[in-house]
Amino acid sequence: MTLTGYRLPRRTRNVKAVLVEEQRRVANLPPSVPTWFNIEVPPSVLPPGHWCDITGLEAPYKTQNGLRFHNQEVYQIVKKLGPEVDQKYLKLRKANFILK
Amino acid sequence: MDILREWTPAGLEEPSNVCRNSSTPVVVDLGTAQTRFGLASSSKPEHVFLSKAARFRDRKSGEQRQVVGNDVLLDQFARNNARSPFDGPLLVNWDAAEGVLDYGFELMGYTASQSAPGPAPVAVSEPLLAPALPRRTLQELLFEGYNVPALAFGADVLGAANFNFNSKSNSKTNSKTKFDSENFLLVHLGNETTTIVPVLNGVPQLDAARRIGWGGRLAAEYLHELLVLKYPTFPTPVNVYQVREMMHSHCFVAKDYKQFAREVMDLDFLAKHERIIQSPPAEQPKIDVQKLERQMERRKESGKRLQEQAAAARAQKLLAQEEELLAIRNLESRLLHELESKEDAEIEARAAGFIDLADVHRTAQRLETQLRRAKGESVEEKPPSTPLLDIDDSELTEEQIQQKKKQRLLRASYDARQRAKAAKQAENEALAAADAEEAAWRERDLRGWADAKKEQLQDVMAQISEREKQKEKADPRSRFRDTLMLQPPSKRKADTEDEVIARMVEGADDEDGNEEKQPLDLDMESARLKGLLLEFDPEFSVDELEPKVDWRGSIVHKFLWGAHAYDAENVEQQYQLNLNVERCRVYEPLFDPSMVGLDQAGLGEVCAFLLKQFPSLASSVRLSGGFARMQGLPERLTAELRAALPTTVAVSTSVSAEPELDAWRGIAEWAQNADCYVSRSEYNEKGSEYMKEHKWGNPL
Repeated sequence: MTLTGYRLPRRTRNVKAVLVEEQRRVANLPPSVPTWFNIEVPPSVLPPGHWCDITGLEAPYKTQNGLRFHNQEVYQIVKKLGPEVDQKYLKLRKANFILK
Repeated sequence: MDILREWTPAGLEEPSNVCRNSSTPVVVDLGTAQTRFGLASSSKPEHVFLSKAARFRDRKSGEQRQVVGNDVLLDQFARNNARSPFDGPLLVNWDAAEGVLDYGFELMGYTASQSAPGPAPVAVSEPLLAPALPRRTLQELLFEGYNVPALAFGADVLGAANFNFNSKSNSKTNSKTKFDSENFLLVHLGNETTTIVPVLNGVPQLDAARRIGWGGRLAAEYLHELLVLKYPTFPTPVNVYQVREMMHSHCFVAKDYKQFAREVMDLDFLAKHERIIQSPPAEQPKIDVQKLERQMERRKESGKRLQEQAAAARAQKLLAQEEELLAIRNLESRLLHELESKEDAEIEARAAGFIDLADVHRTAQRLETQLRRAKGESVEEKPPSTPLLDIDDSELTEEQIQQKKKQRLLRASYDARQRAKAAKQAENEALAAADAEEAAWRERDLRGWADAKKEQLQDVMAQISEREKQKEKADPRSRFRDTLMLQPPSKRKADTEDEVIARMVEGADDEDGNEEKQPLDLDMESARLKGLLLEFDPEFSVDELEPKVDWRGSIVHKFLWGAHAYDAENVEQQYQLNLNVERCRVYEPLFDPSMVGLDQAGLGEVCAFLLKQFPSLASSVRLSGGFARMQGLPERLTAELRAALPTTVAVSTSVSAEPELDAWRGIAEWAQNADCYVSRSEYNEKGSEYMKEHKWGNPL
């Protein structure tokens, strides 16, 4: 309850709605004007590093489903991971398989 | 070694009531991690608390309760229900926002009512170039709900820029070059985002501003997930506040992560760089020996009683069966001898519930065998009478030939049973003899026996591992074959007859059980040998069988337990988290966002890109925001910039003294300037979309 007892009218305001509204607002601005959207950093031009999903060490290898691993010993672990666990590791870098 | 404790902030907020009798503007920095409330004239905010609000129904009293700020950590229930006003960097959860504002204004002693406006204007922060919608709602909320006389908005990042622009000497500079407070590159490291803004001649260059979607909360969550995956069976739950604390006190930015990752598994390096977080082990309940004994006694007694009851029941059943047998026998003899005709006997038998006379006899016999078995007497099977077998078919009638067939079957099955019995007995005898021999050998020479068994066992284990390897190799091929078979027949190439036969033969081979049976035997054999060794060889333990690998050479061991041997008996060790690679790994996504699947350039790359446009700013890169507190950050950024920029450009990076307060302080500086405010009458006239542009605020 606020100091004056005022209650904000209920409205659904999720992030998506906010961003759609903002998109609409800035749509007619010239592209040189900075907005919430165009200050976002573009993708890197450098090659991404390859790191072991389990240990975080350098990972020259990867399995069929894309899990990166450091060496033979870590591979023994990777091999025995359940199908959900390897997806959890992949999810850390949003490379998990998503059923739609 | 560090102890894992429940994390509580330094102190709980006490009301300061500084707004009473004061018209100095109130500065509110609504951060995603912490909210800061203070008077514009103060040197630092009076109140800093977590941006969290928990609204829940109290279980005992049934009242609706609201707990805000650091207080949410005091109660487990509140902590689990705590929500942030933000989703990512954006303000969308208005219930929580209301809670946070209520709490802050109350601490400040800010009073307002529907009729009387509040005592002082309010300046509020928002993200750089924030969407207009949340701002409009916030404006509405502040004017209507808190009756503020005037309101101003300013970007948090620009506040930090303003503070560093005004600051002349408040930095921990790590090099000789002096920080140029007119021209600098501001890197604001927040909870949800990291924003970079060049400042030229004291003017922020918004068109060159950049934002990376990575910050402190995301890093802490990343570490949390890494630890959960690393120790999936960790006995005590670790909450995100504890992980955050762990991150702040133990993690650091590697000067060169690749180098660090190469060195970290070196034993000496590891011993120096690992951090052990000890969670206090759960109290082992004390075992009362006497109580246990008493329980055991009681259990034994009740067991005995049960056994007695069962024996009595069995005896009773036996008695009943005997009586029944007697009755049937009596009936049988009466039917056979006392009744006159066979037909009468049949009718009588049916009346007694049997099918016919023969059934009476069969039942009696079955009961008798049952009884004898129950009494433990051995029941020798009588050979079936087969008189017809010896007579030639030509001498028999049609009916008799049928009977002869039946008899032959009976005979054959009887013979087979006898043979099986004999074979079993012979096998048992052989086994007993072998056992006796083994026992004699053990008596004679225990060591020799054990060594021989061990050798056998190793042989079996080798075979098992060989089998596993074969299986692995065979796997993809068989899968491939399956997919071929799954195709519709029309697509499959027409088989020649030879191929079909070849496949059948192959299939038959597979089904023959050669492959199936052998592995089973191997496993059983190894289990048997292990059992024997465990039973008779006092020196034998299962660990002996595992191939001896020194943990010093094992990356996985060192990753999990650091530079120490693992002792499964040691309870304390089970309650330990070992931070080694993670100490640097957790901060690395800031420089390589692809590590967490973020398709953006890293901090070093973005800064280098901007500094190529503004080379003069390279000598004064300024870091602010709470996340800037991470150790080793300026050194790393300097190193990355040094590598990316021409050698003629001087590079220097510095962190402001209290980076998390920069935004608040910068806003407090301009908040005393009345030009920035939208007054109440302006709001009433022009609505919530109206705002004023100023140097340190977002443009329209």
